[in-house]
Amino acid sequence: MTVVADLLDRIGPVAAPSKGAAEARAWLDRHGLPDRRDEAWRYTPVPAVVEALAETPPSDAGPVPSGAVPAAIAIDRDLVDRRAGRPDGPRLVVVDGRLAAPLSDLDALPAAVRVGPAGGAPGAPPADGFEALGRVVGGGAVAVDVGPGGDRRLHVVHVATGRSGGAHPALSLHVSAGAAFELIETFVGVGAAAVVNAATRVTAEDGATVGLVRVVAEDDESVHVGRTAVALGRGATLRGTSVLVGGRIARHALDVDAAAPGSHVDVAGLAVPRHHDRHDTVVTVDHAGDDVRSGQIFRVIAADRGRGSFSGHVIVRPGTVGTDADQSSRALLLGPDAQADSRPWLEIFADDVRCTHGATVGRLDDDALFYLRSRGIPAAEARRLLVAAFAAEVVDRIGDTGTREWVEARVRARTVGAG
Amino acid sequence: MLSIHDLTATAGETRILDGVDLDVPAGEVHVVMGPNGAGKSTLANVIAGRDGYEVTGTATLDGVDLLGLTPEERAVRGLFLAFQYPVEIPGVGNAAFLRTALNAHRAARGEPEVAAVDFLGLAREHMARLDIDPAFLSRAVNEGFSGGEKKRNEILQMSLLEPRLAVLDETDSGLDLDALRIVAAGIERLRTPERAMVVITHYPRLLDLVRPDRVHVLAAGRIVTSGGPELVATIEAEGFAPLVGSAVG
Ligand SMILES: Nc1ncnc2c1ncn2[C@@H]1O[C@H](COP(=O)(O)OP(=O)(O)OP(=O)(O)O)[C@@H](O)[C@H]1O
Ligand SMILES: [Mg+2]
Repeated sequence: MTVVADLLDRIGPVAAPSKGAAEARAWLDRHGLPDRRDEAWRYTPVPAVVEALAETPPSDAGPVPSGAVPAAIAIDRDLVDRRAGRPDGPRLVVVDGRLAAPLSDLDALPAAVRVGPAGGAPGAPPADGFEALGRVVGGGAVAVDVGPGGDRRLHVVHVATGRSGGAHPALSLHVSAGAAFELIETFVGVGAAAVVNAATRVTAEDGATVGLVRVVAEDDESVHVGRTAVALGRGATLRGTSVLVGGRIARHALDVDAAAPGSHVDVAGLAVPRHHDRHDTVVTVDHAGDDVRSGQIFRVIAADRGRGSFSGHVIVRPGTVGTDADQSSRALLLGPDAQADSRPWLEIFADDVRCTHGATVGRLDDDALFYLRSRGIPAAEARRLLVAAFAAEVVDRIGDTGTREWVEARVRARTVGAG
Repeated sequence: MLSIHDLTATAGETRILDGVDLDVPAGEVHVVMGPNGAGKSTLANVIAGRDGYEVTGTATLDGVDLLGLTPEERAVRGLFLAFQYPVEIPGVGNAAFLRTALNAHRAARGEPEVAAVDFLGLAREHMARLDIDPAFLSRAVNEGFSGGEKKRNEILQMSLLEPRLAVLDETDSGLDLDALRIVAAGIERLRTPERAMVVITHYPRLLDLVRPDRVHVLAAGRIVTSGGPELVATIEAEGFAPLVGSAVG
């Protein structure tokens, strides 16, 4: 794999080699990075991601590239508040993949929640070549372990400074049987172009209820490829909300392994590409267990020449019964050059399946716009109301008020004047 | 107050309004009747500023040229259109919508915004008078409202915004008798010497409750006959055909 070797030559590894890194390297040599033939990557320009990574010179390469943040930039709590909103409840701050203890509320963690470094031990096979790459480079890893109990929430803010070699944050979350927990991950920059390659792995034991909110709010010139892999135990519930509101390239792959019976998967996503952004969300729900219900709703609001894509991959394994899978995708195009793709991707190998999907692409409703304006509401405000209403189906799922309002503000800022 | 002269409206190749003349002085309630497809809603839409028509002629409100203004500018100058088919807007809360509309009017008058709590009080007051369940405030604008509920919501908006000129497009259609009385009361409350109203209707029943000053018949895009309230009885007895003569088919 000359691409991989060349890339690794430029960007790493920077970490001490571990067993996990060695295995990831072997995986990478076998599988390589995703390419055009890879269906799951159809809507993300992989060469542009590779190029962005390769352009970040090794850390010992001398002068900081123009536009990058000087090494001395002070990332303090104020800056994080300004960039990522102030959540209710405790927050961890991870800078370029490394937990920044002084900025984190490590003393105020919710009951029975433990946070520590994840070892370099081999884990599940990588979801894709970029995750493998992240393990090889050794971007840093945080492990969150959640014991019994309910009603707890932790906010993790990932800050990317545009450091050389990209940021490769990895986070693992383990939620014990019967416990309830919500993880909010937000990804922000500090005004410099950054490349972020983030991997989150979640294990929900039997009967656990896990909320995942993931907001990619990278800076305009940044590139983000991320994935969340979730393994659900018997009767476990996942409520996932994915939001892409930043980055010239932003991708989120959410893979749900529903191998145990009776789990419930409820995921929703919103992408708001503008300028020339490419935003791509790929959700895969693998119904490998019986009586698994899944619902996916997805919304794209595309402005300027932005393009938002959604693939809803549903796999139903042979011999399973009681599968219920719904999918709905709607796109709002705020300009003649905006684009949206919606791809239901169904692989159903069982009979006892109820499966629905629907997709629409539209523009702002002229009748609604006229109705609002006829009440004295200025056109721009009327558009804003309609755009916010379109986003609300996803955004309103974010229970944390601080995070929700921050996302609403970003959606507004990204769509102002469009439509 | 409202003065319309030689107004035409064309959509694509279709001439829908074909030289409408209409004067509605302050303090008066005028009724516009006419067969289906005559152009009544188009007239209302053109006055309110809906796009999609090529318009010629003039329409002024207190001497101000309406046709040169955006819909929102017309609204804050005191024009209100109660829609024949109020639009459902999923995701936009009725309370937020009403408050945003009221504040847009207040901003245009140089008045401060109404705070959310004060607004709720005000809205509840109007809703009580119009016999609208306050629960409607927390629903999306018109979404899932019954036909009659939508019409009441139009009257609620009119009542809150207190327009100087209201155009009611078949607001009485589909209403039960109680609702009709409430709508009539809403109209009467705004019947003051400085306001005026244009009521588009097919039903004399409303006109038993709201006595019009003048009645106009619109057919094939023109006002073909105008008269006093007695014209309603003639129309009821004989239909539009004798009045419109050659103007319709
Ligand atoms: N945008 C348009 N393009 C083409 N034709 C149109 C358009 N809008 C209205 N029309 C036509 O113009 C005519 C008048 O329509 P309008 O809705 O104004 O009638 P109306 O008098 O309100 O009828 P009703 O009593 O049924 O409500 C109709 O024949 C209608 O189909
Ligand atoms: Mg009509």
